[in-house]
Amino acid sequence: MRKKVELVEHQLELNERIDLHKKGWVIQRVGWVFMLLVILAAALGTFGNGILSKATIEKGNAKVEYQRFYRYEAEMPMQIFVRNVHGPATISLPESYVKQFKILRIIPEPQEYFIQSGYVSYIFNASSDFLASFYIRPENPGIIEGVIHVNNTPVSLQHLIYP
Amino acid sequence: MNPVLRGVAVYVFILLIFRIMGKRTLSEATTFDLVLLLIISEVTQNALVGDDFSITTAAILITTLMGMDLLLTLLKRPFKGFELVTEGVSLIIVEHGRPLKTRMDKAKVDEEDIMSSARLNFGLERMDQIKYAVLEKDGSISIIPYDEFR
Repeated sequence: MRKKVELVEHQLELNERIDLHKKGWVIQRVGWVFMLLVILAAALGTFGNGILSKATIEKGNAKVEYQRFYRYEAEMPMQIFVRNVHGPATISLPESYVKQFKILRIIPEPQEYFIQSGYVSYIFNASSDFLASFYIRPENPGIIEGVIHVNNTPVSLQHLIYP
Repeated sequence: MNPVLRGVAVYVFILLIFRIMGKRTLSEATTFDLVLLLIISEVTQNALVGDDFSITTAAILITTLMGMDLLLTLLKRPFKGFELVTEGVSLIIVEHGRPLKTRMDKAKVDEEDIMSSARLNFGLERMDQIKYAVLEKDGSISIIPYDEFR
């Protein structure tokens, strides 16, 4: 039930502007709902680290687990699996993609890496199933896209980075 | 990101969230509120400076924050409406010893808050000794007792 706001006749030198208060209370309620929605969205991973953000792409022998959404200058994990490898595993990232990140750690450390025709390639000594974890930090907000190659299997990635 | 943009974004965000939360939020400094405020400042600090510890960044940010504050103060003079929006307006919550329940509900104040302020400032004992109580812009409650209780 909506209660009426009491009207006051007073001798105070005070301009109450009760109309503004009423508007303010409505805006406040809307703001509370909005806050609740933001909290829910964040808990679900709209800004990274959650079910909405975590994505997996499986293609051939390769599987890449990455984050759809993340935050500027936060450490972002990316896991790359390769099944049934015999000999070295190669993970190549396009230079334009690498430029958007600072690569903090790669586990295990690659045996060697080189830059060739616009790609940064990491070579790992692997046998049977192989997992490499990349910890990278977005250096720019916005959409970052790139097609990475996992043992010649192209995998297309897209991240939305919040400021 | 550019420190000026960071400063402006954080300033506007904090202004908005404190207005949405209402006047009374964190106006009473209980121990819990104080700790909450400290945590908020810590989180804000990280967003502002990141891992840049240079004096230049600190100076830019301080200047930006002070500048935003000055800008707001200057805007309030010619645009009266602006002040009403950013700072809110005072609200009468007790009239001639009668608590105005709907207003109190909306502003999240209860009778205990009013009596506590009445006791602290005038040593009043009962609600009927209060002529007016006003919820001020800063969230404090000012009490105007009847003349005989002054």
